[in-house]
Amino acid sequence: MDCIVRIIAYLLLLAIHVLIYIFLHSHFYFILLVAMVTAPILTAAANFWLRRSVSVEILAGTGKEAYARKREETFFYLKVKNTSWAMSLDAKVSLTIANTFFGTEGTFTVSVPVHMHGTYELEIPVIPDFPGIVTLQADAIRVKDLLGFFYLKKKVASSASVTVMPSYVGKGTYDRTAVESGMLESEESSKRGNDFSDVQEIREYIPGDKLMSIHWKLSAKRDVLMVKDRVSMSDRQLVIVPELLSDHMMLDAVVEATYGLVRTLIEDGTTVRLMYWSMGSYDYQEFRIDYASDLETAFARMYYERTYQVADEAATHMAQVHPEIKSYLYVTGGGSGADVFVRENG
Amino acid sequence: MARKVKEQTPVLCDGVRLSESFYEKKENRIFTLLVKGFIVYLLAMGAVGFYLSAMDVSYNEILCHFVILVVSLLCALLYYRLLIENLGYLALFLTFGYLVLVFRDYINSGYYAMVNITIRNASEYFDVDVKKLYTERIGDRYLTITLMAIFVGVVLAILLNVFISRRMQYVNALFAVMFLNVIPLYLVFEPGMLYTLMIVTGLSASMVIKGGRHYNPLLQIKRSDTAYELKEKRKKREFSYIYDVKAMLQAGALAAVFSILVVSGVHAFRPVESFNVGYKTNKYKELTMSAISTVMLDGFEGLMRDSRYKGGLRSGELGSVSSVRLDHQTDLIIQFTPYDDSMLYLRGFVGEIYNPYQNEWTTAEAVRGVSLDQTAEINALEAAYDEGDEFAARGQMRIRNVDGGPDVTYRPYYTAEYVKNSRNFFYDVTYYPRLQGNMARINPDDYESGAPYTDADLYVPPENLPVIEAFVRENGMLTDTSDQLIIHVMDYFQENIPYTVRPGKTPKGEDFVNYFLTDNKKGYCAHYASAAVLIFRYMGIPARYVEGYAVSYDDVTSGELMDEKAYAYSDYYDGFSVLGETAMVEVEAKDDDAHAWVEVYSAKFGWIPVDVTPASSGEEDVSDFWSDFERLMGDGDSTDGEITDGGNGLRISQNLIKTVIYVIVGLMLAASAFGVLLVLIRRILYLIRYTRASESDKLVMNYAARRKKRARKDEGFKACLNYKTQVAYLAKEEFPAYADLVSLLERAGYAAGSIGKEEFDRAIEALNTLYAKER
Repeated sequence: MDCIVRIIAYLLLLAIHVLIYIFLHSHFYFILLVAMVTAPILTAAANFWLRRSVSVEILAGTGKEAYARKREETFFYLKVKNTSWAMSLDAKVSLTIANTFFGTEGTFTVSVPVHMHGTYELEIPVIPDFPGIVTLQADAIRVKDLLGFFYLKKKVASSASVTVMPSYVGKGTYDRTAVESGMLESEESSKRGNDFSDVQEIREYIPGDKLMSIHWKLSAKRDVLMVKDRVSMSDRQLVIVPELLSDHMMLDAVVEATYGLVRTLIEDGTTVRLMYWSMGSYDYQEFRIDYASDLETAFARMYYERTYQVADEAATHMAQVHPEIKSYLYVTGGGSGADVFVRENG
Repeated sequence: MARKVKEQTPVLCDGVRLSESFYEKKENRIFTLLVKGFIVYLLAMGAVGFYLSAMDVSYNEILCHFVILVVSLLCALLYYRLLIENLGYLALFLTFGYLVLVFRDYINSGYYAMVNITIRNASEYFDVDVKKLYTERIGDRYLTITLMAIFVGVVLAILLNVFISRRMQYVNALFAVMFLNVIPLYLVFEPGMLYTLMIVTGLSASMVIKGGRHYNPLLQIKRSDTAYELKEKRKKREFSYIYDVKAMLQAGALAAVFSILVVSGVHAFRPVESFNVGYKTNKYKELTMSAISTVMLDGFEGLMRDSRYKGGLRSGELGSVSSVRLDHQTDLIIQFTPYDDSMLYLRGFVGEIYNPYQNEWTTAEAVRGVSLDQTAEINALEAAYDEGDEFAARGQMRIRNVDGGPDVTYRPYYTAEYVKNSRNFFYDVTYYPRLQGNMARINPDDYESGAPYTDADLYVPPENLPVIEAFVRENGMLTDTSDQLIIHVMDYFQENIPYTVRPGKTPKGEDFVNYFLTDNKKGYCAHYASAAVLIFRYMGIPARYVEGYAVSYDDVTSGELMDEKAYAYSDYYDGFSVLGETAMVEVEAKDDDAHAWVEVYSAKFGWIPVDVTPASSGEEDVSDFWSDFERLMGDGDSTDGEITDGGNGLRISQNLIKTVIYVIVGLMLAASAFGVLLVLIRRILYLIRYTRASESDKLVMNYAARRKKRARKDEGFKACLNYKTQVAYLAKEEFPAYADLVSLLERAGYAAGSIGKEEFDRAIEALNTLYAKER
């Protein structure tokens, strides 16, 4: 609309100048007329050139992927590169931002200048309110000519994502009453130092083995580092099963509660077995979590899952797929957030 | 203190917000202000330099550039903060006022120097004498013009700064820059290339920056350094940059490069020196030239107070004005009884001697101290009346001189006596009209002056002889009898010399009659009468030049009938009347009736009026826009002399004008149609969206439409920032559905929830009630 108004106004101005020129037959007005006639042609040609030369790149942090924490500021970067000597004072980049785990999506436009033979960089600070993978994608760029008459559109496909971990308020503040009250003796014993797992074999140390697996006595005897290769005693490990419900508030609460619970447990030295029901593979995905890094890897994987609406989807499948697990810590949506309790399997 | 602009932090999608730090990005506004200041400098200095370079005036250019640049930049920087702007403008005006006061004599002299230079250039262009020049108190033009240029430049910089720095209004800026610079262009003086370049660059840069649509006047007023703003329109969200110095600089540089290429290119291919070679000025400029020349040489007073022509023709002065401008005011009020349908001539000035090159007629009184009388004619007619001649008559006429000149007495043919009433400025006249059929012969001995005419009535100045002789010979008038000659001359004028009230001034050094007959070949009554007198004299017919009023029968019939009881017909007229018994009428003679004609001597009837002025075509005199437009748009085969004589060049030019006017009218119509269409399309799109929308969206749209409509006419409502306060404002005191309506609106549009059909209906009903209640 603005463009049409500008074109009409320009034509009127041109017509007025033509009349003045006819009236005065002035060299100066002749120059003005030449300028007014050639300017739209040149700016139009320059705009076509610019469209060919412009590109858009989206970055998260320094690369295409980054990590962030819920409710903490994280940054995307929009870079508009131009290899030509044309420019635009108004380039509109259409952007889509989405949280794939929560299934939310929004679009917006950023209007930026396109510099001659250079790059314009815009930092877009965002605050994720939900955990998941937040992706920012540039869909298209529309560049306006210098006289503001028209836009030229160019499709672009550049995106970057930020993996957002739930916020963790710290060990001391987490309410563990419900968990501890229902924790089984066997699960209590899974804390490090009370290891009930079976040793399957003893072998030489391979770089990457955990230090706690080293068989110190034997290593001292043989003068070579030996490690105990263990087989998990699943019915003796602390299993945590979150329900990945599609309701945003519940999912947020469940993920946050699961994260906080696991983090608290591993900081206490408890090895945790995180299991969740994958709608994509229609199977349980499980992760042994000893350290925070294990937890974040597991969550990053979990964020690619599809959420579901059935309230006890994971619990139902647990009984069918893993009948050997007698009980587990079950995290699901409750009335005012997440409920965590020990659930008997079956 | 910088005021922080608080922006909302919008939700980009459910679960992702834009951080407030986005708005903390700053851009150094000082640089953007400096860029704008530089554009102001280009335009202000360009405008000043344009005029001075066009008029080829020498002044201290470097000092002007420096001062105007500094002032332009300072003016632009005033917009950095509101406080700076307020105090800065105050300081600027005080300083400026003080300096103007100190240097007022210099500036004043510089101004008059420029006016004088312009007048001299204009007089050369119009080829007329300079009527008056202004006194320059200080003679050092280099100094005074420099100071005047700085003064004008600073004023322009302050003005342009408002247009450019605030809103980048390049159209206003263009008007301000070209307002006075049209004068040199009109006089065919072109500016220097540098100043052309400055103006073109300044305009190009401002157009480009404005075209970027990042010139938000509201944010300019906020004086915020925030680099980005949020624009939300119809659920579309756009984060738009406000300032970017690099982009502004690059755009300005591109504009400069473009301007340099265009200006230098045009100068290379169409040099200014040869631009107008072979070009003949166009018809429309010609139409304005008389008025413009009067304004330039005599000032606006020249248009309004031309004493020579105010109150008709009465001085015998010729050719000093380029066109006759009528005030259409009443000059004489005549009360008389009409007796025929011919023109009623009222003599005021009778010229006997024509002074070539001085271009004026002088009276016999002035030359010889003798007054020209009509005693013989009066005696003959009076005798015929007394003897009861069938076609003889005597009339009484009262003439009130309203604005026909205080020192002139206007009398009809043939006035026997007049009695002047000095108190009321009217005089009563007794006259004997020579009606058709009245063959009363005169006795030449009756003239009080002793002879019916003298050599002066046959005198043709030697300066005019060759032209008159050639005219008579070339037009085959040498063998004409007196009667034939008169008709021949009248016919010739009618057919060959068009009547115009805009013949242009007689150029300096030219004779009025010679120029009329040989070069100009167009004119008004004074031209025809003067030329005819000399032609008649050359051919041996005693002739005189007369100025006065010629009241047509149409004017008479449109006069006011007077009370028959108070003004009985028989008291004012007696004798033969072509019209039969009429009545006393009061007729107003206006400027339009002022006229010049010829008196020729007839041995039978004495001095009789002869009107050689051809009838006006009517078209030429009508000069209002619509008539011109109609003519322009009319028949392309117009027989207007200027068109047919002009050849192809003029035809093309007029066709071009025609096309351009069509284009403009077409564009205006298209723009109007487009506006209407746009409103319709918007309405249709709205209805489509409304029909397809969910109940929540419908309610939001419905409410938004009501809100928009209401806000237009209710400032109090407009001040309410959200729907809660808006509904409360409308509800005033009692509105039971307030809570429910607010809740529904909140759910529909301002929260994640939605509403159903029933709730929508309930909300609409509540809104209807609310608005009905308000009404």
